[in-house]
Amino acid sequence: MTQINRRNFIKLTSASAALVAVPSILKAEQSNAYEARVVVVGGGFAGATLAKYLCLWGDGKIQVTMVDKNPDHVSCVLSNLILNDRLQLDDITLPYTPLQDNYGVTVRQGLVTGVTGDEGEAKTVHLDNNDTIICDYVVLAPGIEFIDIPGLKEGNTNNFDIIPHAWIAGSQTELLRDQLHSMQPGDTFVMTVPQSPYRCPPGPYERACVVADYIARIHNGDGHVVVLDPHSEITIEKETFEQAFNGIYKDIVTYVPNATLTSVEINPDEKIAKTTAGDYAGKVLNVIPTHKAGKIAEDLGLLPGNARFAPVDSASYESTIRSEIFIIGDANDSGQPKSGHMANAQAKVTADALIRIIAGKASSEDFVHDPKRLEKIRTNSACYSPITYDEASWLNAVFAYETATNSMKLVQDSFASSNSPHWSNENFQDMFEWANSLFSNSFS
Amino acid sequence: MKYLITRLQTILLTGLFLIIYHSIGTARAIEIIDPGRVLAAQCAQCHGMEGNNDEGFEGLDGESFNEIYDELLEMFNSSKNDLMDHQAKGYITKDAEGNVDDAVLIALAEYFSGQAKTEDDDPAEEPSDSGDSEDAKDGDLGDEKDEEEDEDDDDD
Repeated sequence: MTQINRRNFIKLTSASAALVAVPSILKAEQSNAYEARVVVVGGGFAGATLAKYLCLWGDGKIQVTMVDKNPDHVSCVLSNLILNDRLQLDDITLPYTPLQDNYGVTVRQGLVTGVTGDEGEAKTVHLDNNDTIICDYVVLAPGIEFIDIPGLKEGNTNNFDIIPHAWIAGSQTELLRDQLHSMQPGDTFVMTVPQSPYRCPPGPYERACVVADYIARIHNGDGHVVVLDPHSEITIEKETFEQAFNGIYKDIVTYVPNATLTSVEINPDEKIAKTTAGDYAGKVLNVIPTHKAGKIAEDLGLLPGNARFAPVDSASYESTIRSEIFIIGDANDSGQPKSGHMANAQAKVTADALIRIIAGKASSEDFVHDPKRLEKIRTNSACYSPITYDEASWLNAVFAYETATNSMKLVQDSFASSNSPHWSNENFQDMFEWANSLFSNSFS
Repeated sequence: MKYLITRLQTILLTGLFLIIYHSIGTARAIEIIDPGRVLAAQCAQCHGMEGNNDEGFEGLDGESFNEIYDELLEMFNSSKNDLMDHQAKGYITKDAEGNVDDAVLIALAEYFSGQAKTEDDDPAEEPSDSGDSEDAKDGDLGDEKDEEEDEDDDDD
């Protein structure tokens, strides 16, 4: 009755073979297990970018949980523009909802207090509300912490409500803005530059320019800005900032090199910065203290000796002290500039490394240190600094992986800043394009 | 009757094919993609994800291999003090004899022009007229996100 010809027979046999294969596939689909679980500690440019790209590149097979103590992120990028009312805090507040809605990142609010679990075993991330999250890999993106300064910060007590740092954007930025706005003609604004390496290399000098411009416009130039720098000279975009300090702001800005802050004093109507180059009093004192890695890096023992930042393998940003824990952004000591743009770039290298580790779990091959990958690792940092009310400068650097030293090395020819002219309105407009694009690439 | 059975066979086979295809499509393992992907991602801070930008500078989406290659090489050789010209100098090197090392540039241009390949012999990458392999190769990785119904897998 039915004739199964040879062709149909072959079709049927292959179909049966396929039928045998189907149950195992279906079983896999039902197991509801991710290939790996990653907890990201900190939701700044580094953490947000890592969480996003891990979801994206992990094709939904990596469970990504990002924990931050705040409900959203206030960008340090552009935050000096709060001081002169160019922007409001809302303009630089970046919600986490797009990371959840667009990529499937689980975002939790809380402070991470510890990570337990040995290498090769599941890890437990502990939160301050006693909750725990189980995972296989931990990526720390905790940003910075400030070192102690007598009179300003000693352990857990500080006077940042009187002497703001405004170097972690948010209410501190608004406080410094309000203090600046309460200055009267003839008043002095004293600020300190942190010891290198610090977050946003041009940032302190940029701030001096923004404040000087404010005094020039609002008080007709009747006021002073004193920049106390522990370095022997301006550390970055030297020509640009020298030209600003000695040119358009020569009657307002006093730049003091070799001035290391030793303590501060708070008096009823003035604050005093005591430095190795003398004491400087001002109506407003803005101390940007020297940084170290966010507290969790120290708590986990990832800072050897007196190191301020965590040593990492530059091919992945995995801690050289504790494996399966990665440190990206400002908290590591990879020798690259501490900036939002760079944090975003490092996050992508770590996302790629984690994909390789997870995908290669079953294999003994090292996909992370594959020479074909290493020779192509690049990170970059570009940024703009407002110099006047509507003009800005730019700065650029690209870093390439160097196998001999397992470190990221500056590509010398890529390192440059604007010089013809040093600042312009075109750059000022480009600054917003750059920032909006960076915000979007990191947070949505 | 014979017609009916042949038809049934066809339906059965088509159904099986769809089940298998769907399973492979959603349950494939995490892929290691050529270093071009992470390199290209380093352009996204300014040029948007996968070069598809509506926030900032020029989008790179849809540019051909030659366009990307030639533009970056021109910027590399430029002596103008322009930010992007200096960026380009981070991706190309020239030795003392003037020989250009363009391995990184090629990886970038390949990725943006949709020619990037996965490193391993992933079945999803085999020539196929299905839309699936395009996901891994084409410029819309950025927007791609499989609406996963728990498409996890422990295959292997």
